[in-house]
Amino acid sequence: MAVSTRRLQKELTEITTAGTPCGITLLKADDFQTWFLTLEVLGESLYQGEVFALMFRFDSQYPISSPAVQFVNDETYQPPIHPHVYSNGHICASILGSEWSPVLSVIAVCITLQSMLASCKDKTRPPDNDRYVAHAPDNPKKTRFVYHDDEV
Amino acid sequence: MEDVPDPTDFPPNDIAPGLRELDEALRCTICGDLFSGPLSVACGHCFCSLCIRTQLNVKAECPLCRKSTTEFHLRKVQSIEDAVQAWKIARPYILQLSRDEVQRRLQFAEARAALQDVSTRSPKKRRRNPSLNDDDEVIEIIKPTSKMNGQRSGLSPADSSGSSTPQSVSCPVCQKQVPMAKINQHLDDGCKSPTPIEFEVGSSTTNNKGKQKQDWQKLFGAAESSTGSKGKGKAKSNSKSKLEPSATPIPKVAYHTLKEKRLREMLSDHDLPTTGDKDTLIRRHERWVLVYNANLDRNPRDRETLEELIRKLKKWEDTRGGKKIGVGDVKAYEKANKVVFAGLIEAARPKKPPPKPQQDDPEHDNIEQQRITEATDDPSEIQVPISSSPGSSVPPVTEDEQTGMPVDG
Repeated sequence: MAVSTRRLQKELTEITTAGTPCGITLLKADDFQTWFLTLEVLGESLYQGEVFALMFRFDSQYPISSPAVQFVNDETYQPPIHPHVYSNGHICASILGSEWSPVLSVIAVCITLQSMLASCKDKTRPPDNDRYVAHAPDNPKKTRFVYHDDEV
Repeated sequence: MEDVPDPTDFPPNDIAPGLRELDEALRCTICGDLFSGPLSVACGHCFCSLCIRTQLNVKAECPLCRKSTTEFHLRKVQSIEDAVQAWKIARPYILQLSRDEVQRRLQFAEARAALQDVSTRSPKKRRRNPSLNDDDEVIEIIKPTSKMNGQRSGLSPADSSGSSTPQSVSCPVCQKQVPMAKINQHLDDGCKSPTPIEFEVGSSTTNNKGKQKQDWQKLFGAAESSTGSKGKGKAKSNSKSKLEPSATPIPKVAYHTLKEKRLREMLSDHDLPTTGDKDTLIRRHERWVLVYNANLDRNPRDRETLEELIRKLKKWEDTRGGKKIGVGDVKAYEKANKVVFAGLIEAARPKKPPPKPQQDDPEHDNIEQQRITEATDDPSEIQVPISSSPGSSVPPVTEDEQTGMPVDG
């Protein structure tokens, strides 16, 4: 079995036996290519009562290479309005790009994104949203984001 | 789905204190498997040799604490390797014990409940209930949830404590069927016994081990004929043997200075296929250096044979290795998508001087400007000037909180 499959199998086992942290649930993990999880910010925040869905796409190099993570944008789920989340669901977060580490996991990414939403003070789209979304590649990993803002 | 051993195989702490933690502590945080050839980095964190060597090629920092570290800091951690070796042997046994314990408790609880039901009427029942804890019954109840358990559930504690029935069990490490009396010896030998350690492929024909070797050979036959590698049967037969304990690591190579011919020579020195373009050759050699050196980081008795390494290399190449992540051939990609890019550039142009709402963030403007120029230079990637919190999952502190400055002056 490939390393990526073994590793994902372990993560799945842990999710099913030990459960997921508060506000995070596993929606669909039928294979080891694409997983869906739901994310919800608990407690006081600008996103109270909103439920989002995250799509994870893994390549055979996982966990050495990062998963492609984005918010789902369909009839059921819409991406949150956040300065680092584009309206097509792409997320500009350094841990999904240059700051990815192979010891991180699906759940660790979810927790980080949850805290990114929880600490949001200004519910706006990124300033260049329209321009980016018009040209965005399907896979957010092909976008070279520039991380200049470590405040939010 | 194949069952993958995991710390959660063990019961939680209230039943088996510390076992999950112990199992977790002996696992690499990158691959999640028990350490294979554990190496420590500058900060002291420990990873499988292949995992950390691969990762250091990507980024020269510790994956756990992000302290910078390089290949020169890698040190073998012998005691961890010994601990893992022992744990591999002890794990199935302890797993069985702990599962028996769970069952025992469950039955005890059931028995007590039953006892409470009837105790008022017939106090004699009390004496009969402990018989439920009989080992035989325990074994019958356990459901085999995995391959390993399946075999183990057939083996009662009485067997493991010394009966000499010629039963065969599957090795928890290599999954091979091994006579039970020889399982410990088999594990001690790093899964090489019961057949004597072989130095030549195909020299053995004994029992199931021989069969597996044959399978390999089939694979190799296929691999070699498909890649058309010649160079067999030359004076390289000795490199076909198990790695010598004294073998030395292959030094890193500065590939960009090498001619393709030299690359092919280097590959054929190791009996590797020499097909493919230069990029493929480089990636193949690079991967070979990784797996070869990682193999040397293991105890000599745990090392894989060169054939096994080559087989894995081929598998790696078939599944992904041949290709780079993302856009493989940039030039071809650019050519194929020329029309799309032209359209994009055209679409981006009129927007260049948009009616700017006044902004007090000059740095931001600069970056946006830069984005536009870069997008025209290299249309295969789009750059976006927004970012987010770095690695930590701790909510970042805003400047206001940090300084405690009143917003209003």
